Amino acid sequence: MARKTRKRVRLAFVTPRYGPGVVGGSESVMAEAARGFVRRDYEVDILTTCARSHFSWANEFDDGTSEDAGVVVRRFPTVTSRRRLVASGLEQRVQRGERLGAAAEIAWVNSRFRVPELYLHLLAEARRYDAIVLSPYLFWSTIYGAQVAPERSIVMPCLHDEPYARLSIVRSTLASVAAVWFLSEPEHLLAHRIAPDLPPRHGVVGAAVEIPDSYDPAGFRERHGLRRPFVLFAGRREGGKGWRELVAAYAAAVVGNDAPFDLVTVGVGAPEIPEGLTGRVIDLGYLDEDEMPNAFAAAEALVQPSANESFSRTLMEAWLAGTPVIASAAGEVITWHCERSGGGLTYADELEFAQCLRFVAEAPKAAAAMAARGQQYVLANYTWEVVLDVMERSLAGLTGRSAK
Amino acid sequence: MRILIVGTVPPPGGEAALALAEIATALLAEGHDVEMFSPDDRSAAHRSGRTEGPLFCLRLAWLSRRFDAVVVHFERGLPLRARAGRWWRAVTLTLLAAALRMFQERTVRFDADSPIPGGIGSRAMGEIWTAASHVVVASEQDRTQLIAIWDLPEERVTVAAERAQRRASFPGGWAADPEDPRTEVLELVRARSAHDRAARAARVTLGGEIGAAPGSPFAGDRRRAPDPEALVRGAIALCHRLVERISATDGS
Repeated sequence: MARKTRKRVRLAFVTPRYGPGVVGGSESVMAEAARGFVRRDYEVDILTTCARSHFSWANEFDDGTSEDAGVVVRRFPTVTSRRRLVASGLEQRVQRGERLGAAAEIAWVNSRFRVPELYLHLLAEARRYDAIVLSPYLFWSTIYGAQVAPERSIVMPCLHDEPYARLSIVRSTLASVAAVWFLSEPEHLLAHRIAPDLPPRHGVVGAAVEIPDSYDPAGFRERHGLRRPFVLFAGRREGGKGWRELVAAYAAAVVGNDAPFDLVTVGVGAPEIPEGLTGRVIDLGYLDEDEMPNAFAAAEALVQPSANESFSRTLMEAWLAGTPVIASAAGEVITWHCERSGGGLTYADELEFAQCLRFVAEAPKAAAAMAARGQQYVLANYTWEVVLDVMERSLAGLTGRSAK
Repeated sequence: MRILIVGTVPPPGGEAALALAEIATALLAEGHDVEMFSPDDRSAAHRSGRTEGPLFCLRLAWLSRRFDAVVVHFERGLPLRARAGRWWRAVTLTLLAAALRMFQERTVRFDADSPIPGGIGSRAMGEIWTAASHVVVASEQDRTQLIAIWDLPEERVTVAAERAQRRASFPGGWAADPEDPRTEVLELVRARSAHDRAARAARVTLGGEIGAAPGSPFAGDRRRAPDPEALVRGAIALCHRLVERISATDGS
């Protein structure tokens, strides 16, 4: 008699960008979670766009279906607004925190990029997925995608305390879906402040980072010609991520305290290094996934100036590599991680930043001990085994099914 | 084939929009390049904009350079606003027919909520019927009338629900004997029930008709541009009242 086979749980991960060259915390979490679920015998589709850059949203990847590490990747082309003046006006109003009407908010969402064929795919196929996970909160793919089958949609918003998060369309999206996954407790609390009518199924699932097999800090310094000790900034070089504030604080540290470290930056976006800092601020551009762990291991400390973080993967990656963290106290989530783990220092201004640098330079053993506490914190809370267990429990509650 | 679909697509627009989205999905699955052009700027369409009057017809003609085929779904505000006068209707429909002829394949669609401007027998609509290579109407009655009045080939006119019926009957194997006299009736029953089933499924899946959920930002009609004729009439009435008041005040 033929053995009865059980149908696998089918998930869709809807993310605006996916693939090589894509830099973004939410995008990385979605990609790694998708691969993790495949390892646990789920059937997973990534529904994404052909865009690599979140500035231009130009279609750089080919559309169509492919496979990546067991995940089926379905790419759909983006359409960008032809009404650039209208789009820019709306963007400025949102950034000023103006209260827009519902129509203007939708016009704003629609004015950045749209993915009509992704929407059509969801309309036709939503019922074939047991659950649809969408992230992050402020993009068309999430706000429109969550409209199609809210009863089986999970939004992982990756909220930051910024004007976008206070749009009523974000609140109604979070209220309408079946579940909301947060990456940290401060993000969860922020969500309660901006969207008091969250669905009953919501909670902190966390995020995780892959544990590298090995690190090669000496080889990294050699390959990139780094002769002096350095602190590292990794991520998008843009206003929202605190890059300009970091450069200003570093400049003050160089002038006032003769900062003991160079500042090395890796990631995307134009770093716009001031002339006076040439030779002290070193841009290595985008590094591939294999080289990134070596950058963290080679640095004396990771600097994290961003206040707009819902999780901060770079913190975890630095701690995993045994590197201490120096972070802006303006970041609620990062401060929370530093306080819980004891693995990082936070600074409130340029002077405190300079002192943090001095501490790492003058007390390397104490800095290493701090980093070790951070490492323990990551291993206990933020490995994929731990996080996927939490996500799986939430999915089982929602769908009534599990892969096991 | 490069196909342009003109009409409201979801999230707003309810069942008619869903049906249009299903057509787009089916055409994409067949390997065509499809673009959607919606009058509602909340739609998940490739482009949105004014779809009313002669200017829209000119835009459609311009777009014919980029597309081989067009599907135009008649609805409120496409291609005419509800209170369009006779001459405006005649000019618009004549221009629309001319624009349609610039595409290789031309489909015009109607549903129960989209009344035919001037009725099936109107002269202006005659231009549209003859320009279209395929007409989809809301009911069997409309189809019969259209074929009878305009002497259109039967295969060029279909009833909207037939699409749902074909799709619904495909996997289920509802094979029927073509000689069976009940076949025709059954086809109609299945067509209508498939349509109802699709509509109900859409309501369940989408938590109510798309855009109709209370409090949803996609609920209700899109904001419409003020009617220029009404504005002019209002301005004339206002001037008239002002003149009357001034005349009464200065005694002239």
